[in-house]
Amino acid sequence: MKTTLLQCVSQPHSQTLKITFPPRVISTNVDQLRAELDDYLSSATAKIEKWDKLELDFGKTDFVDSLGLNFVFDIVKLAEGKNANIVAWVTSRSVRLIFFTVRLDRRMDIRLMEIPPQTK
Amino acid sequence: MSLPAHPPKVLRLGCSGTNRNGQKCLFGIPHINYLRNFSRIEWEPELLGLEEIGMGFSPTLVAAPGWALAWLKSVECTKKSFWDVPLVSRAPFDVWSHLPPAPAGLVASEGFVREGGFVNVWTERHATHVVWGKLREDCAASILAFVWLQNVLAGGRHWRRHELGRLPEQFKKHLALGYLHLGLPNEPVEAVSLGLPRPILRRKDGELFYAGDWIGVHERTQKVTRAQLGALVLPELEPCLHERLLTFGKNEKPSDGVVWCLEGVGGPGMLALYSSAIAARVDHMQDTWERWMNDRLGMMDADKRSELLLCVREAVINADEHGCRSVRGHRFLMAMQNFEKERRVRVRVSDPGLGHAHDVNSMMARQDQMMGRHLGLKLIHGIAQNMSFARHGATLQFDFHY
Repeated sequence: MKTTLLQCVSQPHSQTLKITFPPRVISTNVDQLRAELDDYLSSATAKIEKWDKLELDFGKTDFVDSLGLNFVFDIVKLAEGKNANIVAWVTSRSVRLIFFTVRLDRRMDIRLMEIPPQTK
Repeated sequence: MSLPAHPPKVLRLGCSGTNRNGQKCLFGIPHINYLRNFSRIEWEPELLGLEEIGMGFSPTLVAAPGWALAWLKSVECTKKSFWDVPLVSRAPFDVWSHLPPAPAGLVASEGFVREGGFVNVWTERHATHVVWGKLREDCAASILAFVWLQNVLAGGRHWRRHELGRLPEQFKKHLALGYLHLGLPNEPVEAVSLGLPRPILRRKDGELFYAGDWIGVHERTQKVTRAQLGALVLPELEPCLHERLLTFGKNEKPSDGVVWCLEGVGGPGMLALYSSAIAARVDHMQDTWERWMNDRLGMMDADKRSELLLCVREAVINADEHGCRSVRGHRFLMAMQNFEKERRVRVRVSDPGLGHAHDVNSMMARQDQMMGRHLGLKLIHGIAQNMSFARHGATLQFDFHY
């Protein structure tokens, strides 16, 4: 059985869609990630529950390559089409640098989370 | 009562004329299955355009599949002589029973040998010579060429030099070879492809160069010392499924390919020649780079290593996608060197494509990047230092300070 990599959770009370990314968002798993997002977006839940805030949780992500970024860009474009606010939570400094390098900071609010020492 | 001894079934493969003894003589190379019917095969290397016959008593073969050794024990090279009596010269069959041990540091993996790979190594006047190739089990001509080659290589210095220098195309077609020669420090390193349409590494002014594909051209590199080179690079033999890892660490034994350690200590760089169409394998390749970095770049913190890894990955994917069009049959080179004193890593990736002078700061490039396209070069440009192109963009180089 194929494991799910992407977690999409809708929070109706705050009209937020939270997408949690896997540790690696890279060329070799991006097709699966796209398929999982498409599955969610075409589901009844996604159509019923509206959202105007998008939270991208990169808390577990420590490696994103250009094709992974391409996927992130597509999500950002989707959210921009809905005039949604976008917040990205990252723990890895290198992931944050990558987002800044491709100017994603201009299109979403990138916030660095400190990992508690015991989980480092 | 003893059973009557059956005379050995001997097959002669000749070029012309008839055998005065009425011995069966074929004027060509038959199918491999036909050869298997005979306990001994005499063949004239002239069938492959070879003028001489091989002879010698000092085998240099250090790795070969078992079935190839069996052919060495049943095939001998002959040459028509006066009165149609064949001259038979070869290494005695029994010398192939025990191959000499491979020099310390040379590792021919099981996978390489299982696929028909073989390696010859010998030393002359402190210089090391390596010949490698790949046999086709179902091809009689390939096996006969291999037998001839082994007899020649067992024949001493004169034979090796004389014969290897003028292999006919017909031979190379059936048995393509790679040849590498390492001399004393400050002596040139020579690398010759005898029929292998493959890229070759070249170093000039302390830099690594990709010299493009060549066939049978004797190319001499600039002077490279053993200490600089750290290791010999033995490229793979055919465009096949797995990339060959070519690193310098004495403890690194890749699952495939050949690694040669000259010094027996970890060297300053990593060289890798990859077969194209890597999309499905890039994670595995990345694991290899990561191990190399973890072993040698201890001063670099984890985030920096991750960034360097990303740059290498992007450069390699770029070379595969654009330089090799992601189709099989091409190769590209990745070289990574650590300059420990300067706390700098230099990465160079060369592909066989035409290249393109990409300007990451152009208006079009910026628009592409805003749309999330062509981000690989942008990432390298933004994260690494001194990114530059050579060969019209087919070679990408960047530094990474830590």
